[in-house]
Amino acid sequence: MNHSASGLGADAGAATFATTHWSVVLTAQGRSPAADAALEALCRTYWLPLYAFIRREGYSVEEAKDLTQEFFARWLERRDFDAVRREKGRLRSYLLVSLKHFLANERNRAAAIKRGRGQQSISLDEIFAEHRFDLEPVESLTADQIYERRWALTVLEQVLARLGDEYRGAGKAALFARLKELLADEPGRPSQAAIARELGMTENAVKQAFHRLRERYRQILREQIAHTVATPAEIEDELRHLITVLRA
Amino acid sequence: MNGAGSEVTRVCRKCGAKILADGPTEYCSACLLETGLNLLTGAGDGQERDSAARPIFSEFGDYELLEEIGRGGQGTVYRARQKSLNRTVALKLIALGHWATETHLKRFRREAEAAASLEHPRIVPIYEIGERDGTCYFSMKLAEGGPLDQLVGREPLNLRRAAEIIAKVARTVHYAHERGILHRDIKPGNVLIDGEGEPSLTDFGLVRLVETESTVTRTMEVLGTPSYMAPEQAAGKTAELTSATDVYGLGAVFYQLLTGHPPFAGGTTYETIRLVLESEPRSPRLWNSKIDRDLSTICLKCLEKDPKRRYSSALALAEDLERWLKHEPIQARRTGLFARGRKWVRRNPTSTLLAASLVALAAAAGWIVSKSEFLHHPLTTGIAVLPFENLSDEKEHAFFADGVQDDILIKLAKIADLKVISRTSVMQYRGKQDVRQIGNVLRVSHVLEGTVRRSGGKVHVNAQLVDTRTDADVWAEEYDRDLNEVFAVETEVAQSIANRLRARVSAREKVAMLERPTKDLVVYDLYVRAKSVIDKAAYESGKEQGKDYFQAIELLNQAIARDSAFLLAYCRLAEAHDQLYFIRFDHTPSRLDLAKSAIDSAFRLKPDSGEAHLALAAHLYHGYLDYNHARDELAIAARTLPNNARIFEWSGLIDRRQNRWHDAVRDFEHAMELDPRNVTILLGAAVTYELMREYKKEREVCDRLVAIEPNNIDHRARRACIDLDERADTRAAHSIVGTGRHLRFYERVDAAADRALAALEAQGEDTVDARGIGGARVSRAYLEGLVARMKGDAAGAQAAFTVARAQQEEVVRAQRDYGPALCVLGLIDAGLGRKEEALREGRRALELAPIAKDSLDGADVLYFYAVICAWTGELDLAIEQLETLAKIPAGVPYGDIRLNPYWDPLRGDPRFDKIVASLAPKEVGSN
Repeated sequence: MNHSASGLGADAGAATFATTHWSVVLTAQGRSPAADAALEALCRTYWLPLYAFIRREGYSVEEAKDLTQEFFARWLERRDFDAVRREKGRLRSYLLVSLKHFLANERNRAAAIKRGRGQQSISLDEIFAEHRFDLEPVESLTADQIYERRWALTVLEQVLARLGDEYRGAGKAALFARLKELLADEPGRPSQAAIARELGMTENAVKQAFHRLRERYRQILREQIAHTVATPAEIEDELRHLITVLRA
Repeated sequence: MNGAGSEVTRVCRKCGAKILADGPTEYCSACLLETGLNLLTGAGDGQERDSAARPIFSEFGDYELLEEIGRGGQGTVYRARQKSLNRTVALKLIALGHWATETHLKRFRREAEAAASLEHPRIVPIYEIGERDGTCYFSMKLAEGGPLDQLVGREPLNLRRAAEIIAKVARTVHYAHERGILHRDIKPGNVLIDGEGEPSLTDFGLVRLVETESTVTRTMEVLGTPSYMAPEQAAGKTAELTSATDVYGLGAVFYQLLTGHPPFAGGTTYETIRLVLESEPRSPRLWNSKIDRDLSTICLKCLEKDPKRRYSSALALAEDLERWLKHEPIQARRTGLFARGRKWVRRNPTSTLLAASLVALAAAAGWIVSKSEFLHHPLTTGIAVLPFENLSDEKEHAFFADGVQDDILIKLAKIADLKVISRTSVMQYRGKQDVRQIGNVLRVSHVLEGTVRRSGGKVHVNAQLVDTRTDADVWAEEYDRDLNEVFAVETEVAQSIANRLRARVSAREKVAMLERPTKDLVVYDLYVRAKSVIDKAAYESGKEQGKDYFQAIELLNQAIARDSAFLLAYCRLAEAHDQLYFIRFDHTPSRLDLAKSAIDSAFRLKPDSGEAHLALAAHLYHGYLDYNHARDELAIAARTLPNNARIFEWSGLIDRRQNRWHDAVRDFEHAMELDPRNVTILLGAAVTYELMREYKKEREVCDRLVAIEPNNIDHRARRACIDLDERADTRAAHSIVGTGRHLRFYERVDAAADRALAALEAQGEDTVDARGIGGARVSRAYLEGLVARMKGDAAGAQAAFTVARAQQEEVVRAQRDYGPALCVLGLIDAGLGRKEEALREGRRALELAPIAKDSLDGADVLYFYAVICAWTGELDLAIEQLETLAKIPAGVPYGDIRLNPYWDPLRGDPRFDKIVASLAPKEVGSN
C-alpha cells in the first residue's frame, strides 16, 4: 500500500507535528494565511460537539445554529487564546471553556440584539444541509458529557472517513469494508479466513492487509488527535481521555 | 453523522460499553479508539497479533498478563503471573468509566469483599482485590479446566454427569445463601471445571450482600447474560431477588447441559429479555427425546416464572437431583405446560416488566438513559407507503408513479427504528381509501399518500403524511422539479418523513438513504415493470408463472444492458432465475448458473449490499436447500434491511426445518407484522402453528387469510380442519372436501374415501403429499390399496399395493438417500404383509432422515415408521414411536390419533389410550 509510507510516522514525530492545525494556530501569534486556514479547518471539523452542547443548553435549532456560527465567527475574529494555557493547550477543553464563557455573555446581553451575519467566514448552512436529522438534545446527559462524547465520535468519524477515502482511491473499497469490521477487535467478528474466502484472497494476504490497515488507522488517528493538542506528548493522554468518555 | 445522542443498539462484547446508533460505525467506538493506543499490543513494532487470546497490557502492577481467557460486560479475565509470589492466577480487570468511578469503586469493593468472605472448596478463592490506574481488579485461583460453556459447547452432556454437576453446584450456592450472599449471575461461563472434572463457582461480579439494600447496586444493575437470567431479574426488580433467583440460574445452566441450548435466546438482548418474560421454555425433551422425564421436570421447576413455584432452596434442588441419581422418586411434580407462569405474568403485565427491564438495562453501564430516549418510542407505531396516484396524461407512465412510491418505501425501510410495511401489503390499497381502516388493518399509525404527474421534462410530486388515528395530515409537500431530479425528490421525502416521525437514523442508514437505484429513468422504468411482474408471478402457478419470470428476466436484461451498475436489477434477475429453477420450470444447473452470475455482479458492485446477500440467501435456499449458509446470508442481509419481511419469512422456514420451532414462530410473527397482508407469509405462520398444535393462533391467522382472499377454498379448508386436528371434530371439515391436504379417511365412510380419490384424479396429480407437510408423497394406487384395506377387501388391497410397490421402487431408485420415499415403500410392504422388508426399510428411512437433519421430513418418516410397526404387529415399537410423535411438533395431532384407521391395530391398548388422552384438548380453566 503506497500511502503507508507517506504522511506521519506512527508517533507523529516532532518535526511533522509543527504543521498540525492547532499548533500552527498557537505558534502563529497573530494572523497568517496558514493560521487562518488551520483555524477554519478546525471549525469545520469540530462544529458538531459545540452545536450539540448549545442545543443541550436549551436553545432551539435555529438559535443553536446562530450561536455556533457566532461563536466561531468571534473566535476567528478575536483569537482570544488566553485560556489556552490554562487548559493545557488542548483544543477540546479550550473550546468548551470559551464556549461556556461566550454563552454566559450571550445570555446577559439583551435578547433583542440582532446577530450580525456579515462576518461569517464559514458557511454552517452548507454543513447543516448534510446533517439534517438526529439533532435532538438528549435529556439524560449533561451538556459537558454530550460535548465530550460528540468530540470523540467526531475524531473517529474523521479518521474513518479519511482511511476509507484512501482505500477507495486505491480501488480497495471492498477490502476496506470487510477489514474495518476487525478494527475494534470485538469478539464474534468475522474471521480473517472467512474474509479471505469471501474476497477470494489467501488468508495470509488478508492478514497482511489487515496489519497494514491497522497501522495506517493508528497513524491517521494519532495525526487527527495531533491536530487538537499542543505537543506530541499529549496525544496518548488525549486518546485515553476520549476512550474513557465513550466508555463512561 | 448526527447529533448528540441516540439509541443504544447493543453492548460491546469486548468492553461492555454501550454502542449507540450515533457512532460512525456499528462497532464499538471506544474499542476502535483503543486500537489506536500504542500500549495495546506493542503497536508499530510490526508484530502481528493473531487471536483474541492476547492481553491488552502486558504488565499490570505485580502481575504479568499471559493470556486473555474470558471477556464479558463486566470486564476481562486474564491468565496472569503474580510476580511477587511467582504463581499463576486468574486476574479480572474491570475498566471504570469516567463519571462513575466513585460509585463503581464502592460497589466493586463491596462485592469483592463479600466474595472473599466465602470459603468453600467449590468456590474459587479470591487472592487479592485492588484498584490501579482507574481499573479495578481481583486475582483468583486459576481453575485449569476452563468454564463449563467451553467444555460442553452446544452439545448436550451425558445426563448423569449433568445432574451430578448441577447437584454439586447447587449445594455450593446453598452454602453462599446460608451466609446471606446471592450469586445473581449463574451461567455456564461462571461454572469452572477442574482437572478432575469437578465443578466450582466463580465470578462474584454481581454478588451482593442480601441484607444491604445498596443504592449503588440499584442504579448500576448490570444484570449479566439475559439468556440465563430469571424473569424477576430481567425485569430489574432488584427488591424481589431472592435465593429463588439463583435456583432459576441453576435450572438455566442445567437446561443448557441437557439440551445444548440456553432456555431462551433471542437475536438481541432486548429480544432475549422479551422471551424470558413472555414465553415458556421449550420442554428439554423436545430438544432431545432421550432426556429422562424426571430430569426434565426438575429442570422446568427451576425455570418457573413465579419464584414461589421453584424449589424452595438450592439445597432442595440438590437433594432432588441426588434422589434421581440414586433412582429414587423425585419430589418435583410436573405442571401443565400452559399453567406455568400464567399467574405470575398476570400479576406482572409484560409491558410493565419490559419497561422495568429496559430501565435496568439502560442504567447498566452507568449511562442513565432517560425514558424519553429509550422507552418513548418514535411518534409512530409504523408507516405504510401507499401506492402513489398517477396523474400523468400518458398511460405508459403508470409505472413511473409506482417507481416513486417504491423508492421512497425502500429508503424508509432501511431505517431500523421505523416499522415500514412491505410492498405486498400496501399494493392492495391503490386508489383513495379509508385511512383509519388501513391503519387498523396494517397496524400502523401513519400512512404516506401521494400523486405523481410526469409531463415532458418535468415531474410534479405531491406527498402527504397522514396520522391514521386522527385522519389528520401531519406533513405535506409538493415538489416541482426536472424529471432527472426525481430520485433526489424521493430522498427528500424519505428524509422529511424520518424527521417528522422522529426516527433515529444511524449514520449508515443516512448514507443508504442517499443511494440512487440508477441514474437512468428508462432503466428504472424497466426495473419497476419487472418487479411488478415478479410480484404477480408469486400468486400464479404452472405455465403462467414461468412465463412471467421469463418476461421479468427479459426486462431486467434490458435494464442491465443500459446500466451495468444497477445493483437491484441484478438481484431481481437472480431471483427470477432461482424461481424458475425452484418451481421446476427449468430445473437445470445452467439456470442456477445464470442466477449465480447475476449475484456475483451484484457483489462486485457492492460487497456489503443487503440486497445482494438476500439474493444469495434465496439462491442457496431455493437452488441448493442449503439452509445453514442461507441463514448466514439472511443474518447479514437483516443488518441493512431491517424491514424486509422476506428475510424473516425465510428464516422462519429454515428454523422450522432445523427444529427451532420457537425461533420459527418469532420470525413468522415478525414477518406478519411487517407484511400483514402477504398470503404466503400468513400461510407459513398458519402451518407453523398447526404443527406446533397452537390451534388458537392458527385460527386467528386463518381468519385473516379468509378475510384477505374470501374466495380461496384452501384457506377455508385449512380453517375447517383445525377442529379436526384439535378436537377430532369433523363437522366443520364436512362442508369442505376436495383438496389434497384433507384427503383423510377418518370417518370410514366409503363414499368419503371414494370422493377423495376422485378429487385426486380431478387435480391431475400422480401423487399427493401424504400428510400435507411436504415430506412423504403417496400415489393413487397406494390410496386405492388403503381404501380397499379399510373396506376389508384383502384381494383388492393386495392388487393395488402391488401396483403401488412397483411405482414406489422406481421413485426410491431415483432418490436413493431420500428417507421419506423409502419410508413409503416400507409402508406399502407393510400393507402387503412383507414384514421384514417393511421394518428394514422403515429403519433405514429413519437413519436417512433424522429429525435433527430435517425436522419436517424427519417427523414424517417417524410417523410412517410408526404405521409400519402398527401394521406389522410390532405394537411395542409402534407405541414407542407414537409417544415421541405426541410430543414433537409436526408429530401427530389429536384428531389423527383419535380417528385415523392407521392406528386401528393399537386401539384398546392402554398405553395407546394414554397417548390419546395426553393429546386430548384441555378444557379451558382446568389445571
